[in-house]
Amino acid sequence: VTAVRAGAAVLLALLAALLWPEGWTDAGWRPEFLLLATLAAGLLGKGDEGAWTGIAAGLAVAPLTLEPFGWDAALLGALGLAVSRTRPSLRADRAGVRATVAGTAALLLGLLRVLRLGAAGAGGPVAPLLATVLAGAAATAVAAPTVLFLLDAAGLFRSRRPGAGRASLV
Amino acid sequence: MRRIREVLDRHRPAAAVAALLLGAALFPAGPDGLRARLAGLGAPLALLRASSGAPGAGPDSADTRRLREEVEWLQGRVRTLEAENAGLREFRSLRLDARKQPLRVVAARVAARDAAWPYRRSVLIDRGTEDGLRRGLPAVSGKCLVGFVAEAGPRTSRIQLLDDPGPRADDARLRAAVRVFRPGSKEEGAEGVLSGERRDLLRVRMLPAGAAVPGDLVVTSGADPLVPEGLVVGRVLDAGEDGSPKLAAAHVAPSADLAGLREVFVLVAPEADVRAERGAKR
Repeated sequence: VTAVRAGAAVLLALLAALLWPEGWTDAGWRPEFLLLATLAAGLLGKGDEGAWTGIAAGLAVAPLTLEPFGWDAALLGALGLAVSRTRPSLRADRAGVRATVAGTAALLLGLLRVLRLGAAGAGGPVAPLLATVLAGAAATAVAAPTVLFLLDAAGLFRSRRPGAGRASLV
Repeated sequence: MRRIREVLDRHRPAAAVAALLLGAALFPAGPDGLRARLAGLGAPLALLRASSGAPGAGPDSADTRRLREEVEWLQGRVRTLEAENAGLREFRSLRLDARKQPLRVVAARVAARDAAWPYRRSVLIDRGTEDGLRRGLPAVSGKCLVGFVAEAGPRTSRIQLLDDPGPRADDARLRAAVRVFRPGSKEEGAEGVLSGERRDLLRVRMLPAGAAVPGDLVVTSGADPLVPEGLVVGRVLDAGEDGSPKLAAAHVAPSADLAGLREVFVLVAPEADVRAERGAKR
């Protein structure tokens, strides 16, 4: 069940990322949909669903980028794991909390990516890339409450109570 | 051993994350070039955007609307074909030395852009090793250099665009060699090293002080046998010191529209000739 949920969330996130207007993407103004799918699984799902969804999301996008294979999967997996483990202490039903968590996570992941580029011997200075990271984090924070609300309403990660659904058959 | 297995079972997601990190460090292109082979699977998904603008993509029963959409689509096709034609004409005007550059040209369509993060600049094209493409080959649009093949799978390849800020794939030092010269001047110009900085901005470093001024033309130097000499890279925007008073660095605006690429030509030099030329240079 976890695999099906993770797969569905990742597919939705990939579609959203691919259909997002290119002009906005070029300016860095694009929510990180894969990160939002990971957050949704971490905040709304059960157990370590966040970690597995993050790993699946990273592996799904690996063929479509120049980042090292598995790097995004590791980052998103670690984020999903952290969110899954801290879920009880987060008041994740509040839109403000969701926006803050998403924005902070996007900022952190962006900084890690820029740091890796710098360590790998990026051609030019990495400082100009920080503007793109900031724009992406802001877009992710703005989109997070709506995206998480929609995924919550769709019941993609909602746990079903034992016996639910049987009453209608009787 | 049992203890290790117990710990791994208890922390399975953390172990998976650690394994992925290790894998990313050891095999950036995936084990045995896995990414290049998987890339072909992602291309149809990426083409959704392109096909969504074609006629018949949405439920529409009104004839007038259908016809209007068809006209718009055909107008778009005409514009695309005109752009392709202009590119081909420009390419024909490029004078490559036939003796030094026995090149084969492979035309390829851009199937998808880098889908992960906005600052990575690469495109997926619909040609691969089955068409003779391999890592390191230059890709051009008209007579302008746009990037290099970073990974090649059987039917698709990924082109790292010039404005990608990441490090270049193998043998980067040679491939990034460019020459900066003043148009109309008889001087040969100065050689420097090209790298990407961010979207639509390049940087040439290691130039002699005072060698570049705004408006200068940047072309490939021909230091790498894979890359023909004289491909246009861009024009100098501004120049300054490069860490030492004896060296200069310049910002360069690429001549090609890197963000709007729809088709590229990959220049395939025969591998045997490249090996021989490299041997002669050593």
